Amino acid sequence: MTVAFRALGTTAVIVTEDATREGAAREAVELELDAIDRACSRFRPDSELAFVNRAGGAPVTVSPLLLEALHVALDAARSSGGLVDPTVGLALRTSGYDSTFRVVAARDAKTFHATFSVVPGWQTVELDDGASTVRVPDGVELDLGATAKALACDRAAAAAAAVAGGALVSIGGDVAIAGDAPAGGWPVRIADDHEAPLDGPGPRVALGGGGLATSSTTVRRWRSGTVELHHLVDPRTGRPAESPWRTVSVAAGSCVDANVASTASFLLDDAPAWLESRGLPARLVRIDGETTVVAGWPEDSA
Amino acid sequence: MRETTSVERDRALDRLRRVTVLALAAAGALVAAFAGLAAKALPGHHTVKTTQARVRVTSAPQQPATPPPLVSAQSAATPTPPASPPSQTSSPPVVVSGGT
Repeated sequence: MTVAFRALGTTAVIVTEDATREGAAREAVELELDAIDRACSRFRPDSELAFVNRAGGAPVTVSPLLLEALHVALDAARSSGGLVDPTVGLALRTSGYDSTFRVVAARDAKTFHATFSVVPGWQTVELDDGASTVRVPDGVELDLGATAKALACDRAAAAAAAVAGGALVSIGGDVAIAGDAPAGGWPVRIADDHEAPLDGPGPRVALGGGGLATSSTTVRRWRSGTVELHHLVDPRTGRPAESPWRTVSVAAGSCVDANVASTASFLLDDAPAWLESRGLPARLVRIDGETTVVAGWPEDSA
Repeated sequence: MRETTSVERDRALDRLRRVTVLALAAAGALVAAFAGLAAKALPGHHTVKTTQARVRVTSAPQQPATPPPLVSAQSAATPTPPASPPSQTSSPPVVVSGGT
């Protein structure tokens, strides 16, 4: 059974095999997503993250959930060699991604002028687990978009599976699987845009567990004058990444790991080799549409 | 007598010049030495540069001044692979994985 609803500024989908537990699974997932939104949203002025970003360099006491999300974000930065960096918040905001994407997309490009910022680097974030505090220097703004949505997906899938036995949760195209999976795995369609129709053309893969993330520069795009921008910021330049890829899908042990790998792939010199060396099955689509698969990802059928 | 007195006076002036030069050199050296000692004994204010985000407002995209430091890709555990890779399927999909 499938249920879909709006959450975290995108679409959340819960799939369970046991229809009788659908309501309980949705309730569990909604609780998780609401908690993540209150802790990690960059767009809610009342979120914990917004308070950290406004603290002017002072340490801020945070909830265990935000502390976990921050650890996940910093682990992502370390494991990606700094390519997935939570301190891109200011760069994202001043380049135009300063509100929910519906607002950004509706902005008049003729009157909007993007600004670009140096990304201070994830090493500037200070976490104190004992005191449950986080401190960032004055002027540094955190954005957990790359990892918090994936973390929400992992947590939501675990919560749904706890009440429904087995579940797949998708949030904005990121997928996490927990508990029992149907025989043959959960079938998933791969596309540039997560809002593409289920019955459209293109590859379909089955997953038995873990996570799947697809990153793409084709969806969240906006204009500053005549310049087109997107949401994947290169921490080395503070500007939207220039990449040979338009869409990268990665399967991993968790949705967080899949998302870190798919995001980093846009910035790596040799993403296929990096993914292959780590045993991360992936499908990469070049700007011109040419496809590369690595580490056991099935070839697209003709 | 006048010639003798005149020679002695010139010699005395030469000696005085040399003594003056030496005294000035010695005074300069002493000033430098004491200035150094005073600087060490009485440190003044100094500026520490802290990491701060810098924003450059432009009407067109520009390259930031300096890139952030990046760590080695081997400095932390890498993303974990799945227990098994995805397999091809012809079953009707339950969700679409795509860009947000």
